[in-house]
Amino acid sequence: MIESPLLTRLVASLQCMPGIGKKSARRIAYQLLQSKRQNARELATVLVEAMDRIGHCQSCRTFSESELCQVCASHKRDRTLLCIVESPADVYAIEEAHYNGLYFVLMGHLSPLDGVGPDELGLDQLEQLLDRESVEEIILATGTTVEGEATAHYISEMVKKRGIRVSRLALGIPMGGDLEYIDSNTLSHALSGRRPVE
Amino acid sequence: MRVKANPCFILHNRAWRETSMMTEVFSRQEGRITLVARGVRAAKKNNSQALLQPYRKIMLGWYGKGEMGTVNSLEAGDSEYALQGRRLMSGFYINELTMRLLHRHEPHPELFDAYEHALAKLSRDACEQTTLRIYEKQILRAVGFGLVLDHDIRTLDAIDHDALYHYQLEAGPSLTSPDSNTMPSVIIHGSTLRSLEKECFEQPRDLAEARSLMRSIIAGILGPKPLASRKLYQSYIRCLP
Repeated sequence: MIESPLLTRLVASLQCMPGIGKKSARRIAYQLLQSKRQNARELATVLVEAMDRIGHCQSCRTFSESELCQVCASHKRDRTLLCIVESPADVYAIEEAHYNGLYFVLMGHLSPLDGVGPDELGLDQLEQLLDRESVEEIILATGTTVEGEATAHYISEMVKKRGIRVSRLALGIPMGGDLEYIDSNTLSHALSGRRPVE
Repeated sequence: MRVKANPCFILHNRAWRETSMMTEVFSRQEGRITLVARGVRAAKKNNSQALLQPYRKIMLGWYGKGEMGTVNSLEAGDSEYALQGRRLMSGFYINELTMRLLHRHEPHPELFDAYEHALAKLSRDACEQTTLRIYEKQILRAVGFGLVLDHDIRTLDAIDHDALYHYQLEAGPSLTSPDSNTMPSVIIHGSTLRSLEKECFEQPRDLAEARSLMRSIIAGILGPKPLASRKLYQSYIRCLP
């Protein structure tokens, strides 16, 4: 079947989204054209607006359309706590876990082989944030990969001279997890990080 | 082509497509290879992702033609080396060195064992710098750039412990100065050469000299693109209190 050129372009463009292949893209395109034209117009407007206006928070580097994101601008947050994460998606996840402090988003992790060093992670900006805020504890919530560990270690050494308490997210068994299915590495971390029953 | 599960180390991972990973592997049997591990980044495959991390020995099997294979079996191996703190940075260095110096599909079982030995030492309290120098020496030998450490390349005399040598980067040590315009060289004590040969450093000076010798030789082989992990290590050292 010959598709109209515009429809072909639409299908191709939709494929830039995560998890959307050719088939799903075509289904979405047809669905939008058939019965959701108004929603699609709205989507188009929001997409353009979001792409034009969303930048990075000048303090914590997460996505924000204003100079400071809502967390950094809020007076209700605990400004003595700073959680360092790899991506804005991690901010969302930690926010769900009822955390009430500030964040700093690295937008990646140290990975020399991919050309990501301290400069790319905005660590100078982190220093500025620490100069400005009276942070008492830094929570390193970088990933549990080798690169995430190296990033956490690098930052912990970097802030040592400031005398700020530094902690790392605990590693262990997921809630509802069966021991027999957990990899030995995670289990050995859970064992070494065990704590007394109160 | 199918390759049965054999001992491997991951050198580097890169996210590939939605849920897969493209991974640089050092296999004992096949040497350095690139493999795709399908679906390992999906939430249900957390175990696979935990296994596919650098510094742990895994049993990997794969299939595929040409440059890139696809992983079809993955199991934990018998050893895992927990590199901590600054030694993680040294780990990046030996991984990058291995990736840059080894050609794909060239088996180096002896170097594989040396690599594992270096990881084992880095995960314990062994001297970090000595471990790196020994691995550098071994990898250079494996890829055909073995160092001359026991004799003067002009006179063939044994190395004198106390003498100062001009180590010509592409040839070896000599007591007489080469034409510096055509032959780049590093000035180094005989004791450093002997220590490198014995793989045991008694003096800090020898270790420092061995470091600058290795740095010059490796830079000469790798060409204009510097080692990114070395840059990271340097900025790490600068930020230490």
